[in-house]
Amino acid sequence: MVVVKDLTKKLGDKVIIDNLTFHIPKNSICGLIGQNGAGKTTLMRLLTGLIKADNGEIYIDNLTLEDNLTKIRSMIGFVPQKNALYMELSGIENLRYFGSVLSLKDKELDGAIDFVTKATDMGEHLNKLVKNYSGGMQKRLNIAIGLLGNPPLLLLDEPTVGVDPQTREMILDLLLGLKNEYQTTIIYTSHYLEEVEKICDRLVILDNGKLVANDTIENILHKSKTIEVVMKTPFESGEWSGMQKITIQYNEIALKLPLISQSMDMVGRINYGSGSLEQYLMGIKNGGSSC
Amino acid sequence: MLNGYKASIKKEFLLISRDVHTLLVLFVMPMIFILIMSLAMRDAFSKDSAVLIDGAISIEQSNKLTNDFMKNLLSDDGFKWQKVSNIQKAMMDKNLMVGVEVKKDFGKDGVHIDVYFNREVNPSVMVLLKQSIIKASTSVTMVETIERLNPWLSMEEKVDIAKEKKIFNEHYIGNEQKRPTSVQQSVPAWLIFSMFFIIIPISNTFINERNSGTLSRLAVMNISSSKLLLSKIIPYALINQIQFVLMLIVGIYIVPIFGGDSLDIGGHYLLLAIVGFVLSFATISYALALATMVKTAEQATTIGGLMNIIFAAIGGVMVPLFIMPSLMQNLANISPMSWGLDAFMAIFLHDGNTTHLTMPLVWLSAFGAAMLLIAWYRLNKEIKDTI
Repeated sequence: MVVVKDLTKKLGDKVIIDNLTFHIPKNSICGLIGQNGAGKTTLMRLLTGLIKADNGEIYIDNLTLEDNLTKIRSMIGFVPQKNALYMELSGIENLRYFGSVLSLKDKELDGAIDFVTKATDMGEHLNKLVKNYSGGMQKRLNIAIGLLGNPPLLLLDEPTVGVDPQTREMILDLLLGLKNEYQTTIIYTSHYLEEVEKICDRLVILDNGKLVANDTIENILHKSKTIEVVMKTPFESGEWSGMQKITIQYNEIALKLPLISQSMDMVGRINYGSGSLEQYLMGIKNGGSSC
Repeated sequence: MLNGYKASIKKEFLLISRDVHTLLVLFVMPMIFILIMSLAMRDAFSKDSAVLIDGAISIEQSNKLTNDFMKNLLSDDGFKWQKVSNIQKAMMDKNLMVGVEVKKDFGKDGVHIDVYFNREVNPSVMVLLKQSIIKASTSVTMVETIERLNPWLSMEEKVDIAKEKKIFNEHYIGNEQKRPTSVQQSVPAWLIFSMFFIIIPISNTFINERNSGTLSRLAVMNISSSKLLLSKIIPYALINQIQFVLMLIVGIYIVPIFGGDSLDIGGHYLLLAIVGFVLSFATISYALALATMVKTAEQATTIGGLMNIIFAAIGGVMVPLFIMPSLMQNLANISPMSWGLDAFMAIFLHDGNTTHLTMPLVWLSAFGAAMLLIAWYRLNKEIKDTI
């Protein structure tokens, strides 16, 4: 569904997106994660055509974004990080306005509004002015507008930030439901690793604009497995000199195990870590093994 | 496509209808200004003005006769005199309405008073000055004779006799200019002023859209910069037209209820509609350009409000142009509000004469086009560059 090739975006001399290449298959939920400043929001803006890349290509449904912007945008539902709403209008007035901008009208518009309000469970609040909504309700409306017209590709920029646990659960269930029932392809950014682990099929991990990982969640969790080796006494020399406890990442086991086997008689205990996204990201941050 | 514009118009109307402060500025403020200023300035614009008339007086040679004459003239309540050496120059430079020059042979046989009238002066003021001169000249033989021989004559008749007897020579200086009535000045002036305040709702909506990310969302929904601008121009142009019609109604029907003159638009509905649309184009484009240049709604309100007040002050909205000195009248040409007023005056005072109407419309259109170009460029940049 989404193919990104050699994508680069600079702001002045600073490289914000650095030669990214990855793909996201149809009917999947892809989590886009990384620290603040990693380039997630810029990548979202590149994917929606709001800004142009300095280099590289984006293909959506086999069409180049640059040459088919209008057509591609008609396939995209975009949920920005801020609640992009008219506060002085009611929920239903917001939905009607944005629906009309999408060229929905009459029964088609009524049907779309009915669908999104049920999906986001906000029916009874529709006639209130948005400025009187709670933060969670505003977030639901923000998402509901992105769903208008049931787009095949949904891009959400941190949709679960600042919402209560019930709303978060609702949003996650909604995304899973869209994928399962409507075969929607979903890309969303988040800082919450547990929710990413829960609903995503794939992950694209960015660090300072560079691609760190692009894989299925299972593969990434597998790679995040670790072995913790506790020695009877600290290493006297070599890479781990002075260290008594070392943690080896899954992808380094083949490299590091021979070094440990040389001191096998000094090994006191070995613990096997089951693996988590947090461990994986920590491993990336620390560049491999840790103590 | 049309559906999108209809939705935008509805959205903007809903947003404005729920913004009480904007409604006050756009509709109530100009109505109150029109009423107050039309009534307050009625006498100042009237031919029966009770306001003191500024005049210049010059005496070639001071003696008892001329001193007595001057003392009498200065005691007249209708005029405020300034002693000058060159009557005509003083009247031109200081925009004085009348002038009296007493020659050195005053009191001897012959005509030794020259009276100067600015061509803009009301006829009633001319009569009043002539009466004052006759009164002040009671020590002059001829006038005494008129007084003694014809004590039963009215003052008007004495003026006629004096004129016939050539007590003074009359001169006229300056160009005759048509002046608006107070309601002809107030209605367009405050209407234009309020139309320019469209900057407040436009910039508030625009800045909220930008800051909330709605602008980006609309861009992803395939709305281009030009469509975005057009979807703002259409609803606000309609709001401007509502202001336009309402203020004319106030001038025609409401001001007379409170004792003011009724606004006579002379049946020039089409010309007024053209002026209304061109003005609207200029004000909305200006508001859009400013909205794309400022960062916050507070900046827009402060800068926009300040600019409007400056435009109004120099453009003849707050102080009518015809009572400004020539330097200020020239300065008014840089204010778009002045171009708008000129267009209205072309209709009210010159019967819609195209010679008078064309240039103000050309200036307003050019100003609107330039502002729209700036707004379009800034909006395009805004959408592309925001990260």
